[in-house]
Amino acid sequence: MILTGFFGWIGRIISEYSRQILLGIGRTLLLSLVGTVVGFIIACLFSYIKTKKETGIVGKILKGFVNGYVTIIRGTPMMVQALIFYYSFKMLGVNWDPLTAGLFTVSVNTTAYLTEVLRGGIESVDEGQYEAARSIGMSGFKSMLFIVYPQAIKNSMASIGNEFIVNIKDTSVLNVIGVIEVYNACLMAGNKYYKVVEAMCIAAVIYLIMTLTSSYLLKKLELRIGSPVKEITSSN
Amino acid sequence: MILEIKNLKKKFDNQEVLKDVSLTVDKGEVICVLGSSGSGKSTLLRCINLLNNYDDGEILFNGENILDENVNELRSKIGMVFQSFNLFNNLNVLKNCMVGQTKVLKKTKEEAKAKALETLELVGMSDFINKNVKQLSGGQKQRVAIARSLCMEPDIILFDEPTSALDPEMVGEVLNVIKKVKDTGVTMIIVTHEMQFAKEVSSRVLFMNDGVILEDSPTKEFFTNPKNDRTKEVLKRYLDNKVND
Repeated sequence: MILTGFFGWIGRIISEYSRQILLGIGRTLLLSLVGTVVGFIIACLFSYIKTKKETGIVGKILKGFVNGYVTIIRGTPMMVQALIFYYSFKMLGVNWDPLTAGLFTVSVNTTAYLTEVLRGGIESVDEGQYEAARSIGMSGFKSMLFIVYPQAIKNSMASIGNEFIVNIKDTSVLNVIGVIEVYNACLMAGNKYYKVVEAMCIAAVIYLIMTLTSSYLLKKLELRIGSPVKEITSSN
Repeated sequence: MILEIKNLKKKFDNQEVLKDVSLTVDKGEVICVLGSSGSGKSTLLRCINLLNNYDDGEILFNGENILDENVNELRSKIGMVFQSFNLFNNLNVLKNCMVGQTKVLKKTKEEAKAKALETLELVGMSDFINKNVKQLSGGQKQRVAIARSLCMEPDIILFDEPTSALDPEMVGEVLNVIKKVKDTGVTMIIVTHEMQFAKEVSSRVLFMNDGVILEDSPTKEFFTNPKNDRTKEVLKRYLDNKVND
């Protein structure tokens, strides 16, 4: 009896709220995809600043900025960041909708994490690679661009993919500024009939499908980018 | 005179690695630098292309103080072959030899490819152009590294212990390639522990110890009539070993 009631409610919520839930799925995917891509692009720049060795006064200031940025963003919850960004920008006269503020927040957040991921990736590349590039006359920037980064990104692929999966789940906190993503869409449906458990079970299953599918696709991508040729390490 | 080093001094922390080193190199010379580990040989090489900076003294390359030149342009004219090869792991054999030409010398892909194929032929690696560098043996890697350096058409090539990281059976193939490179007429400075090779390939031998050049003589004289006591000692040990072999 209980079970038929449970599944009955699930069916009812899905059929009544299918449009909102589908929209929620779209927003969650949009938020995590844009967040990861934008975060990755900015993180490429930030990790370059962070790992650059020979720097002048400007470089030192930039490095200080990046270090502070990473420390603050990684040390505070994204939910708090979302609220601060959303309302402080509104106070400054930026009239943005919750989704845009959400995209901004998740990008800012992901940038901090991926900066650290890429820094690790860069440090995992043997220093001889950079030195050899410099020795044939490449500038520091070209050496990083053509030699070090391709290897650093390859080494970091698993962690970058992981960040995307984390984003799928963690963007649920953006409900605090009113973004209607998967969690919020399901919650609203559940609240109507006081059926929170049923609604959250729907949300859980949707999240699970999204994360499993993503991790499967990322594995494939990783294999492709990771090693075009099966690596055989020689004794030398 | 292609290279002139005057009173070069270099300290790492408080350790003096180079103490007043002076040296001139003429075009086409092949110079082997011998000496025990820690004598400053590698540091001397690395100062020439500014991979290390130096504290005092002067290095003139083609008559110009190297500190006055654009460092990237300078390095494109001074090739370097490393002990640990340092081939670009993200590029295949052919692209390792092309990337410097296209990104630094601004050659077209076709020109770069033609030059790369030519030099890979010289070092005997033509059959491996599409191979991932990780699939190569140490000797093959070093031959590609030599080709990569030659592709830049440098005025001088610096070899930093090119065979020290190799299995004994691979040393010969690399030394043979260096001999071939010598025939192209390029100036070379080779830091090595291979006495026999130094004897065969070089026109001049430097013997370094504790940050100074103890002996700087034509190869023949170095091996038959060394001036310095320490050199004599090292040479004697080498000749004794040879007899025991």
